[in-house]
Amino acid sequence: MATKRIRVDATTVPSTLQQTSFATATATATATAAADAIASNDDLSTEILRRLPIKNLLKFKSVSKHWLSLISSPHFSRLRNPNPNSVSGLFLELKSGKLNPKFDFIPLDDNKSDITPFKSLPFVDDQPSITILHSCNGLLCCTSSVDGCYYVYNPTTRQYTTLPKTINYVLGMNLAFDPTKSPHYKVVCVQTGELPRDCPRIEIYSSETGLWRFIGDTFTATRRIDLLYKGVFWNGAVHWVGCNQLAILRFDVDQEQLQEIPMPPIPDGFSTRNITYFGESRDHLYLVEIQDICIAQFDVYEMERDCSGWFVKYRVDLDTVARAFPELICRHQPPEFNFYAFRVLFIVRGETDEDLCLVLNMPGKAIRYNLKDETCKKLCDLEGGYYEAHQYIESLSSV
Amino acid sequence: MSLSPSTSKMLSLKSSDGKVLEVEEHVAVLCETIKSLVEDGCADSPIPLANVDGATLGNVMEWCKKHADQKASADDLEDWDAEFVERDQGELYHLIMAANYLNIKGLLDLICQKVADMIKGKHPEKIREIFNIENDFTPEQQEQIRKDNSWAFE
Repeated sequence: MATKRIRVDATTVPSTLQQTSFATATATATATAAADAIASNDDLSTEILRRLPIKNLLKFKSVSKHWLSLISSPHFSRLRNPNPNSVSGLFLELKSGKLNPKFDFIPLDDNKSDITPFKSLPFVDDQPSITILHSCNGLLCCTSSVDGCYYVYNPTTRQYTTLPKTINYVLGMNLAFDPTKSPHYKVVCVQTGELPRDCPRIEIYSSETGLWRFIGDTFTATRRIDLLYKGVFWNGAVHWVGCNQLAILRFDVDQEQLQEIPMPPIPDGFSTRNITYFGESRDHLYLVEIQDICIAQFDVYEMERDCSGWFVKYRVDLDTVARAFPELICRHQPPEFNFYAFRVLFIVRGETDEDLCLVLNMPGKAIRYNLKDETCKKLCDLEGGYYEAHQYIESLSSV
Repeated sequence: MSLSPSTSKMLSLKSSDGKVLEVEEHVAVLCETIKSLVEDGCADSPIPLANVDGATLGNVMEWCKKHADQKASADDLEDWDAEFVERDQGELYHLIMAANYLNIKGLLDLICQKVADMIKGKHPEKIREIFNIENDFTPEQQEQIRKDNSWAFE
């Protein structure tokens, strides 16, 4: 038999093997040779490694310099998580008004069992003061009210970086990160102008240069953002709800230009706006307006890809949910005073276009309502209070 | 011998150690490498496969034969695959190399998943041993990686 003889490194073979027959030793030698060949072929090593849980990958960074660079590369990060916006859970931040926010984690992806739940942001000493400002394709922008620092944190790898200090008072901070386009991220910061009567200004941080840079005059007296709503990154731009909810302001991060997008029409019979949800899921932008909590129906709007306007994606009927969870209806006498006790925490888009779920906070719990098949599922118990939800997307991207 | 339309043409495949295997064409073309040779009319007889030894080629063709079987259900294939990967590490590594060389995505996915499951949770030192990798970190660098990813080492 023309089996190729390979030198076996005595240190890697247990001593019992060295005493076995020639045939076994030869088989071990060819097995070692095949293992060697796989280890020296980056494509094959990557094929194996990308199937491992995150915790293993971080541990295997210590195998060798070569494995460290393989696992840390943006290429590997893209292969490991080919859908950079597929959400596997939600961080819920209890905004109790106290200094210490409390975090809860709701898993949404039933197929992923190896996610480590997350109840705090453990990366700085003054963790009770930490709050999440924005979650964007796997990275979180956080701030600490104690030291006024801003952080970019990857909750998957638990690595973080502290952003250099900015000069002016920060009104809002958002990440602009799309790992399918670049391994680098930007942070878009809206700040007060130099004088109190000045219009707000935008400063951009680039992870590539590590520097902040002011953008020329972007906001005008008529183009201001509503600070009650957090900015959302979608389609290469940060979007804010404009002042008085009159328009959406879209800041294209590459072009560095601000543009206005009209709102959906105000529902019949109402004169003012009441936007209750504005968020992104799987690269789609959604908006919900609820004018009257005594009415069971409301619309979920989706933005057109070309930003030309909104269309109604679903008309939600809460009575379907109330059949599964009667406590959704807060009952009074007379019944005209009944209302629906809920808040939209998050709108989660599935893999297909029609696959859309609402995560609702109702008394004592969070539930998922699937708009496609109209099924309801309890996600977890929740104590009372005002919650803010941020998506958790698995990512190996470095900060 | 019946000449029914289902009778597939036979191909001869020659392994690196000189063994010749007769395989039905519709089975062998699950290997993209062989498929392109056949389509381009470049399939010599026998087709020399310089990177695959006879024993591994036999295993690969056994997998291809099962997966070329139109009658096999998805559940059936899943059970069969689960049994197919129950073999020693050496054979698995040879199968990965062969599946890569012959360009059989399904087989490559299957074996890579098996090897990933095998090394899951292992100590880095054990990984170095399995893949014969030299630890080229200084103790300080090693400690830094442990520190940066301390929760993963808990």
